Amino acid sequence: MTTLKTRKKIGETARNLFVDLVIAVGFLFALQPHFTGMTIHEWLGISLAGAFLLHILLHWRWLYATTSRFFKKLARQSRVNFILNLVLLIDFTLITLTGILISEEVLPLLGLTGSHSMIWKSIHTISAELSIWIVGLHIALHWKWVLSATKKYLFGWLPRRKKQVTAPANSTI
Amino acid sequence: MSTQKRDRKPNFWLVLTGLFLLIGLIAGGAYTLNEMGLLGSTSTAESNGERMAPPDFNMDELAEDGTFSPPDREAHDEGGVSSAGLLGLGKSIGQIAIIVAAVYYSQKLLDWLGKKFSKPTVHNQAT
Repeated sequence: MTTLKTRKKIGETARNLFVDLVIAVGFLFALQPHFTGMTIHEWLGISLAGAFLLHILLHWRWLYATTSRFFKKLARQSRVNFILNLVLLIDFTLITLTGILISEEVLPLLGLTGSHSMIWKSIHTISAELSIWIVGLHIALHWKWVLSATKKYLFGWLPRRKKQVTAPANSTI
Repeated sequence: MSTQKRDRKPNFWLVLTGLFLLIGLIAGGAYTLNEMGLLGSTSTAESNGERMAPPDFNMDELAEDGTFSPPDREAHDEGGVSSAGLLGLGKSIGQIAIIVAAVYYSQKLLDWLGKKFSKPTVHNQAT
């Protein structure tokens, strides 16, 4: 039973790391329409919106527990995380909404025409600039987990440096 | 085991519903605010139905034969590996790295300061 639980935990951590890495790489490229071109930028943005939803739903237990305990006794770190994640959700919703509204490639495919409003374009740009800072803070608050999971699952194949163990002089077997 | 499953299932749907409601509220709120003209400066002459002054015309925009050709699509419409693209990518990575380092080391510093200036324990006082 314990082995099963441990295996499940390992699987969850590896899966979370994989999803987070894909999101991180996708996010960095989506921020650079110069690099990807507008068509890829728009499709990547829509895919990222789905990936963010998946990321949130993968942590639904934490979300449920923290939301239900937010106005009660809760660790400071969890409270800060919750507020930051809420800000991030608002920011990403605005990026996705404005991105869809000003779309020049995806909307026409659906037979719709995007808005040419400068306000949506400015909100899209400002919230995208802001997202870098919020994502940076989000990663920073989970940095220990990122480091340990990366070491374990991405660089676990590397030979480990063995610690030298010196047996005590009066050891008994 | 089965009780656990029964307890968790409704919670997941609650989270999912709450999440979609929140996203809908944010998106709908932003859209409504814009429709009401509360986002940005929409009370310009253009939004009041008046005709705006055309952009300044420059004779250099005309081709040698005197014809006018529309401007090309912006460079970033096509994409591709360029120094600007790579620079932007590096800038974003650098920004995130700076934030991570700043937060991580300030947390460490706070921990260290907390330990250093924490109230002496009973054991320490005795010694």
